[in-house]
This record gives sequence, C-alpha cells and structure tokens, in this order.
Amino acid sequence: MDEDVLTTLKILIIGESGVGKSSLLLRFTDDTFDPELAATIGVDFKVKTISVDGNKAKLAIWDTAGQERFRTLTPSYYRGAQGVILVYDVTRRDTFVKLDNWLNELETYCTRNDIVKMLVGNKIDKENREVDRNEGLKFARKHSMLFIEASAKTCDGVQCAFEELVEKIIQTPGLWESESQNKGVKLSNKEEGHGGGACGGYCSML
Amino acid sequence: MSSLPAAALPGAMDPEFDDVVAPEDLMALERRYAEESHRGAPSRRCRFEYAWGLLRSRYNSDVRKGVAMFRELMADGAPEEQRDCVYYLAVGNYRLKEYEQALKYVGALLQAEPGNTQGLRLQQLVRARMHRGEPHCAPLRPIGTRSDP
Repeated sequence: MDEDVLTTLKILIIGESGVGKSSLLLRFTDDTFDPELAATIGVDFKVKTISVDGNKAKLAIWDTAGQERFRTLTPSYYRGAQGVILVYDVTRRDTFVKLDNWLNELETYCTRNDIVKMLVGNKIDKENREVDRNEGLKFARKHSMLFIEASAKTCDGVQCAFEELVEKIIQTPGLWESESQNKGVKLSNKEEGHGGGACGGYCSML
Repeated sequence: MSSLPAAALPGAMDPEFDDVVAPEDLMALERRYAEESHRGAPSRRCRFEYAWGLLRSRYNSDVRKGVAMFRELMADGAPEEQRDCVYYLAVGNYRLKEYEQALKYVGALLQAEPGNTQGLRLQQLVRARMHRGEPHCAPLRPIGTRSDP
C-alpha cells in the first residue's frame, strides 16, 4: 500500500484570514474551487501523496484558520512541521504587510530551524492587484523563502508551489526520515538533538 | 516522524480529530483561565481557548468539561462563534464516543453549510465508527457477511 512512499512530511499552511489557504489546498488535493468556501474552524487536515523527482512523498497537510480568535491555538500544530506555505493575497496589501508577524510566529513555535518556507501570492487572476510580483520576490529572498504567485481559481502555480516545497525538503539533509528507517520505531516530536543554530542537519557532514 | 495513519482505514486514528493536546499546552491554557477567573470573570476568548484545550485532552473527564464549556459559550455567542461551538461540540462528542450526539451537532453545521469539508469529513468518520463499533468488541468480519442496518 504505502511501501513505495519514501517519507511522510508535515506541511503547514498559514496566513491572514481570507487569503485563500483552504482554496489552494482544495485545488491541490481535489482539483476543485469554491468561491464561497467558508472560513476554516481551527484547523483542517488533508493527506495527499505526490511524486517529486521519482520519489513518492506522503504529505500530511495542516490548513490553519487565519481568523484572529484562533491565533493562540493554531501554533500547537506547528511542532514537527518540515515545510510551511505562507500565503498572502496580491489584491490586499494588508495581508502582505502582516507576513512579518507570521514569520515571527513561525520562529517562535516551530521546533526546527531548518523548516522549508514557500511564500505564495494568491489570487493573481484578479485585476485589482495591490502587491507587485517583485515585492513578493524581494520579501521571499530577504527571508530565504521559495516564492511563487498562484491562483487557486485558475490552477496557476498551485501544483508547483507544493512540488517545489517538497523537492526542497527532500534535498535538505536531516530534515526528513525515510519510512524504512522508521519502521517500528516511534520517534518523539522533540528535536532529535542536532546542534541547533543555523547549521541544522549539515553538521554531521563536516 | 513515523507514517501517519490513513483516515480511511477502519480502526485508524484520525490525525485531526483524535489528536491529543500537548500537556504543557493544556497546562498553559489552564493557568491563564485560572488567573482570569481569580481576577473576576474570564473573558470569552480565554474560556474558548481553555475549552479547546480540554476537548483535545486524552482524559474523558477533561473532554466532558470542554464540551460543557462549549455549550455555555454557544448559548450567548455571536453567530460566527456559535458556528465554532457547534463544530467543537461535534468533535467533543466524537471523542467521547457519543456518536449520536456528534452526528446531531455535525448535522446542524452541515445544514447551514452543506459543503463544509471539515464537517463532512467528521460526519464520515463518526458514521464509520458507528457502523463498525469499537475494535475490541466487534472484530472485523469479511466484507459481505455483515448485516447492515
């Protein structure tokens, strides 16, 4: 059943309310779009297996609510995440300005410092754009994030956002474990005692 | 990071609805709730957050307390908050194996929002649990031998 799956990865989706986090996920997992999608309550969860560079990875995707009243609760889902998709709406500058807060939150609550981040500017199908592509790109570079513009409505960039994130995670030594290595072993969610600091998994290669 | 159980497998735990809160998280929520109670009436937000933590506890007594708190919050909440409460009341009752109650609440949510994906997934899970019963008292039978209601 899952024998050919290389690894299971925990992916988070975060960002302000109404930027299209759940729509991006729904497009990715079910290839559907609902313009009237209701706000997520707390956190939603979906699983999808994808193939990247011939490697199959099972993604456990946690889609968090953007609404303020869940702000204290959702970080408990950050633990152990290997990848995060940070979403803003290109037609709402306020959602772009708030990205700093989300990055702070990640830094505070993520249990690993080598988590791979993908910045997604959503809703590029709309005409009233307020955030230029270059601004997004510049912000992503400044914070060492991958970057893509997308539209959950038209499919643009959606598949790519997830694939590139997974590709980068798989290329990062020490960030993931293969399923066969894990067989029968229950790893705790606590950090595995890497040296910490910026060197993450690379230390062992020196 | 061992492999996550697939939600569709009978008997498998659901990563979202069977998820257990980290004890330190619940303790932090409890402390804040106690502090606010000490100063007077705790804020709605504080009650909501503590109820959420209790609901995800591994202990049924906590889950029950969480369910009771969500019922109180629902009574005088704004429509948006009532929606959250109905959903969490469904989740809480599912965790307590009160499946009829869970279906009642998730049904209320789905009546208002027929396409709500979180509600639909929970409904599916509750129904699956009801049909198969708990694994220790109802061993799996080969497909086809089961007498469906």
